This record gives sequence, structure tokens and C-alpha cells, in this order.
Amino acid sequence: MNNWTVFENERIGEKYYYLRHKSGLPIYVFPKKLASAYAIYATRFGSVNNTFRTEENEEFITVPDGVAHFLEHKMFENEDGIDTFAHFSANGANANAYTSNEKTAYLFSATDRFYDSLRVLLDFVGRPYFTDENVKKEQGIIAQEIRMYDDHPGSRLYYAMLENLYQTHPIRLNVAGTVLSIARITPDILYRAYHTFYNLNNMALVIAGDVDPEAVEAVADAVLQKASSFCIEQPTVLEGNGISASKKVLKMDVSRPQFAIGIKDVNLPLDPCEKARRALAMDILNDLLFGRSTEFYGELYEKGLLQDDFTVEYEWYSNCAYNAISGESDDPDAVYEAILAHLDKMKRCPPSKTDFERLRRCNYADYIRGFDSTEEIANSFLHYLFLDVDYLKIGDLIAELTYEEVIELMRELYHEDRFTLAIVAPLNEL
Amino acid sequence: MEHQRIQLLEGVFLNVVQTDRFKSNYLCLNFITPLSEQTASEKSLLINVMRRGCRKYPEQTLLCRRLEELYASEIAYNSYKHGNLHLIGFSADILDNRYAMDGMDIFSDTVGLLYDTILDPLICDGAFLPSYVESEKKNQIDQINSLINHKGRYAQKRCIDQMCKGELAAIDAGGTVENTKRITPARLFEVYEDIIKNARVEIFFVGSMPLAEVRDKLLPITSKLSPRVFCASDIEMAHTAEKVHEVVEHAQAVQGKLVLGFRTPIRGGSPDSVALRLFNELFGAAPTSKLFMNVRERLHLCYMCRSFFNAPHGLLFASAGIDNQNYSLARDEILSQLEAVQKGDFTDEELAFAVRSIENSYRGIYDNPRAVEAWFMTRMLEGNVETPEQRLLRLKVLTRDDVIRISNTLSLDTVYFLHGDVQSALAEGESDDE
Repeated sequence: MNNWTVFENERIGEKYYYLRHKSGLPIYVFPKKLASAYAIYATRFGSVNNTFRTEENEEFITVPDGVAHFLEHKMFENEDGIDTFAHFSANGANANAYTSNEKTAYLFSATDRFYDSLRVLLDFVGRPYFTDENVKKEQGIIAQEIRMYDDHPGSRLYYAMLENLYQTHPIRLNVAGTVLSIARITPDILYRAYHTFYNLNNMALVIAGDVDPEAVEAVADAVLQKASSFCIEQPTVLEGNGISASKKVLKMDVSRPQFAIGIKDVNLPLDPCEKARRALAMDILNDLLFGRSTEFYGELYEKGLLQDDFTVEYEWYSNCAYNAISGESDDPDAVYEAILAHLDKMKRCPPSKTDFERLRRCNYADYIRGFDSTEEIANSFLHYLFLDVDYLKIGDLIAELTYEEVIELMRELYHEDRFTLAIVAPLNEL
Repeated sequence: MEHQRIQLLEGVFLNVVQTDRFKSNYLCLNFITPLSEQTASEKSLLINVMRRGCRKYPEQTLLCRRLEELYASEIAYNSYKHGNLHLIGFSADILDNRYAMDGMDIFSDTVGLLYDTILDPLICDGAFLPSYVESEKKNQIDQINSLINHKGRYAQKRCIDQMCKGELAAIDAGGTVENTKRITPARLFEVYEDIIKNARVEIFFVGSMPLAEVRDKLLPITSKLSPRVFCASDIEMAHTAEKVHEVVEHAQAVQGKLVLGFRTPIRGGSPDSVALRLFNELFGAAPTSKLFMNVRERLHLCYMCRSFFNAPHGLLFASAGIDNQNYSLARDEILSQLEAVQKGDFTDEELAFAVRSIENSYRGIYDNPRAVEAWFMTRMLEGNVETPEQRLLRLKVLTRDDVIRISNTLSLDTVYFLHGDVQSALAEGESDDE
């Protein structure tokens, strides 16, 4: 274990091993005595990374929307015609992949032959194979995936809210692109994106389970070649503090209106740890202001304005963040007004310190519970890793939060001109 | 890990799976009752009214605050069906006492709260609170109507409705709008009393304590229960489809949804159910299944095409989201893939992959307390308690002939298609700027 460094948090009794593999790939192994081991292999390439240039090309290139997601689909195809899923299935592993705004991730879980499946994982992500024919085929499949989400009110609502909140930031783009944008994707574009972002120095491997770090290293030694240095330039996103629209109503075949209220956070700190601290403070603040134990929720529920699907979620990325308040209601405008009035009142007489302490404890307990699943550990770890934060430190950050900073955050975030309201309304409603 | 089950009193059982794998303990109280069209709406409403408050914590906000004090030991209220049974479950995910910052006995305090919510409800004049009942009736009706928001689930439900008219399989545990409207606060209390007095009770614990300790700690609840005798009638259903029904309906959607419904005499508890599970994996559940490899990968007709087995009723469904014009093509391809399996047109490798895939999911069950509970509850309801390991042994001796034999028990009953009536060019999202 000479090459590995151990990071430990004694308070919660958890640790992980870290290795910067000689190929350039950072590897993290989180020991956990559960039957399923989980591995996730990811690159910092998502829907927002659509414009870039490298040393070889002087000009910036902007790729069609949906390239990262398209590439993820296409990685499963191989030159020998055998689908990658078949290789995982041969080992009994359950494999999958996903693309989000800032990353593409390939993963599997296995209760047996873990290292064989790990070899498959590291191998197939290293072998792109794109042809005119297989790109054309995928355009048909992904078009159906896009159509499926076109009929999905939650997805339409979410993007409507983002389009309202952001003027230029690529966070507002649909991860899968559109039927028209993916029609413009070619093997050349895919290869160029692949060779730019699928560089081991821009990637990470995270494993949680009853796994031996040295055996992991042996697989990496056998499969991975040393990567060239990673050097790309992406333009600075110029996104002002203002929003793009304060309201948008979409009509769909739904039984009753659904709403999403977005609040743009324009003060996200640059320091990763400060960012994480702000996000954790926001989680508690959301519970304090809108949680199930608040009078606000109780009253609106009582009035029939809100139901059990009401959720408030702070989302943060490397260079943007927003708070999203969503649910179903017969009268979304009344909910919106009630939220504004509530915030106004809370700014004048804030929630109590007792409530803060109780809810902080809940958030801490939820963090602890997260260590009961290898899937959750690996995904949470990766999520924070790509935001340059150590997942093991999250508990300490929660413990350090103060009542004062959370209340201050409320006063600072909720600025009237940073609100937007998106609604999906039934077809027959005016 | 061992599953222990003891009878605490007649009709009340405690199940314990002791393990130190987790940082939290899982506790669930299941009340097992007969399923019927009328009471489904009532039972579904009942748990939502109980969620609103109890005598000690008469408002939802107070109840939630108490849960937060207990380290967010969320209580989940579940209503679901299994064959001819309707199950009402109250479950809690309880942080292990060793993580309490203040030495609190989180487990015992949560048991106390479960007692309050389940056995000490908010009652006035022999009825639940009328205002809670009325507002939850509206919520339940909204919930039932919201099915149309999810076109895939809607198509699935419409298919089973047409296919199983008058059968238990068509009853929705969430109830119907008409039956919900008729419920009164007094009637709801009758339903409650009937459940508390007569339902079979299966308590499940997955966590760090041994059986004896769990039994003692549950006394505040179990000492208040009385002995009961529970029986439910057997499921009766046509095993073979007599003719194929074709149903086309329309929705304001871009994509069409195709659902094929098949019948088989095999049920969850039958000896052949393991073979059926294997067939299903090979046919449409695994990522290397016949449906995935052909309907999606070869013909690229869809993003998703899969099958699932409704074990209690002996029904199997295959579904896909497609362009309207590919309706016949997709239907014929799904049927020809079934025919291929029925004729033995699959490789030993495909079969081995399917076995390993199921093996992997069985072994992973012990990683998740809810999955452990679901496994043993389902086995008990099917009347054949076996561990995942025992079932694995039965799976591994199956041959290709078993799969062929099982696939030939399936008969097509209904082809349902939800035609998407919205033209593809959506106003938003598809405009191309460049």
C-alpha cells in the first residue's frame, strides 16, 4: 500500500484510500463491507462544456447541444460489434452511465468478479469507435429519449425555469440536446470531444465496497496508458446578475398546474470549500423556511395550496447556483405571493436558534445515513470531488455552521429581482 | 444473515434480520388486509389522514418537529397491494443510538412516536377530524387524476384496466375518484378500527439489535394489540387469454406508448416462478435482453423497451415509447422476439448472462434494509419462505428447456397503444438558433 494515501474521519468511522495512478488518473477507494461494490469512472465533460480549444486547434469550437450525452451513448459500441453491456453481463455486473451538466459517468455494481468488471470499465471508456452508420443509428434512439422527456412535465418545467433564470450560461441547455441539434453530430465531432475531455488527468475513478486498493491498482496498471498533459481552454461564462424572464407558462396535458420558482444565487464564492459551506447552509435554511415542520408549510397545506410533493432544493455547480422551489398547486401564483410574503416576514423576524440546531442535527444525521450504501457513497464522493471538495469533510462543515451565517444568507439570497416563476398548466386552462 | 420470525400473539409476528452493516435501523409495521375495490380508496385515504396528526401531536408540523428531534427518523406511510391483499405499512429509518449527540435512545423514542401515530389517533366523536378527511379526500382525488401526467404509467394502467376488467389485478391501491368522494369521517374510523383489530401484523426489524431486545423495545406497541385471526380468499383469474384485444387510445403527447399484456398460469409462489423470472430477464429485463438488443439497438425504434412480471397475478407486460408510425413494426418485433425464445432461439451465453444478472441482484438484497424486508414479506405472502441464497440454488439448476417451456405458457391478451396526438415540432426546445 506504499503508493496509497489514507484519509480518515474518526468521528464518523469512515476512511478512503487515494492514489494518483501513474497514467494520470486519480483513484479513490472507499472500503465498505457490503455485498455490492460500486465503481464510477467519470470525466469532467457535461452539457455546459460545449465551447473549447486545445493546443492543436487555435480556434474555439462550439459543438452541437447534446454532444456529451451522445458520446456517452456511443461509448458502449465497440469495433468488434459486441455491446459493452454484454461484457458486464458476462461478469454478472449491473452497468449504466449518465450525463449531467458538468460530468459524464460510467458505472457498475457487482457482488462478484469485481476486478473483471473493473477491467471492462476502464477498457471500454478508453476505446472510442464512431462511424457514420452507428452515429445515425444512435440519432434514432436518442430522438426517442428526447421525445420521452418532451412529454415529461417535470423535465419541461425544470428547463423552463433555467431558461428564465439564465441569459447565456450553458446550464440552461438541455443535457440531451434537441432532435435537430443531435442530427448535426458526426463521428468527427465526437472524436474531437472525446480526445479533448476523455483525458485521464481530467477524469476520476471512485470505488466503494469490500475492495482491495492494490488489486484496483493492478487492473489500472494493466489497462491504462499514460495520458498526455491535459490542457484546454474554455471561455469564461459571461452571465450577469439579472434574469432572463420573470415568468413563463407552458401548456401540457397535465391534471393540474405544476410550478417551479427559481432564485438565482449571484454570490457563489470561488473557494470550493466556501461554496460547499454555502450549499450546506442553504440546505438548513431551506428546511428552516419551507420544511415540513414550518408554520408556512402547515398553513399552505391546510389551505390546499400545497401538497406532499412540495420540494425546495439548492443546486450548485462550479460557477453557478440557484434555489428551486417546486410542487403542484391549483394556484401557483398564490403560492408565489405567499412565498414572497413569508420571506419578507422571516427577514424581519427570523426562525429561532432552537429550530436551527434541530435542523442542523437532521442534516448531519442524513449525511451519516448516506454511508449505508456503496452507490450513495461513490456518487456523493464523485459529486463533491468534481467540485474540489472532500466528501469526508462535509460532516465537519455541517457541525461548524452558525445560526448567524444562515440567517445572513437568507437576507442576502432572496433579492426580489432574482426570482422567476415557471408553470406547466393544463391545456384547458386560460 | 439470518431471518428469524416469531409469533408475539395470535396473528401478530415479529421478523428480525440482525446485522451490523448499517448506521441506522429499519423498522416497519405492516398491517395485512383483504383487497377490495371499495376499501382500497378508504385505506389509502386513512394513512394520509393519519399522517396529518395524532392525539399527542395533532398537527402535521408538530409531528414533523418531533421526527426532527429524533434525528429525522422519517416515518413513511405506505399503502400497496399484493395479489388479493392490501398492505398498510408504517416504516421508520432510525439512526443508530451510537450516533446520538446527546445520548438519546433514538430507537425507543421513535417506537414511542410510532405508537402515538398508529395506536393513539386524533379522534373526535367516534370519527376522524372532518377537516383533515375533507382536505385529504381532495388530495387523493388530485393524486389519482395526476396519472395522466406520466404517459408511460398511464398507458400501463389503461392496459391493465382493459385487460383485467372485474379482476383484482385492475384494482388500484390508491383508490378511485368516485369511491373517495363517498368516504365519511365516521366510516374512515370504522375502517381504522377494523384494521387495528383484525389485520394480520408483520413487524420487520433490520438492524443491530438481537431479537429479544427488539421484542422488548417494541412492547409499548405490541402490548396494545389483541390476538386476531386473518384469512383472505384465493385469487381467481383466467390463466389463458382467449383472444387478443387491440385497444388504441389518444393523448396530447409527442410520443406513442405501446404496452403488450400477456397471461401465464404461473404465480409468484409457484415452483416455476424462478424460471419465469429467468425468462423475463432474458426476454426484456436485462440490458442485454432480446428486447433491448433488437427493438432498441438493431431497429432503433425506441429508447426504452422492457418487460416486467406482475407475479401475484400471473401477468407479463412489455412496453416501449415509440413514434406513432412505428406501432406495427414495434409490436411485431416484440412478438417475434418472444417467438424466438419460445423456439429456443437464444444462445447459452445469453442464458448465462441472465442467470448472473439475477444472481447479482439477489446477493445485493442484504445491502438494503428495505430490500431485505421486501424480499421476506413477498416470500411470506407467496406462502414459501426462502432466503435469496436458497432461491439462487433453484435458479442455477434451470436449463434452457425450462425457459422454453415457461415462455410457452405465455399468451397474448391485449395490445394497447396510446397514440401521441401532438405533432413532433414542439414550439419550445426544438427551435434551432444556428
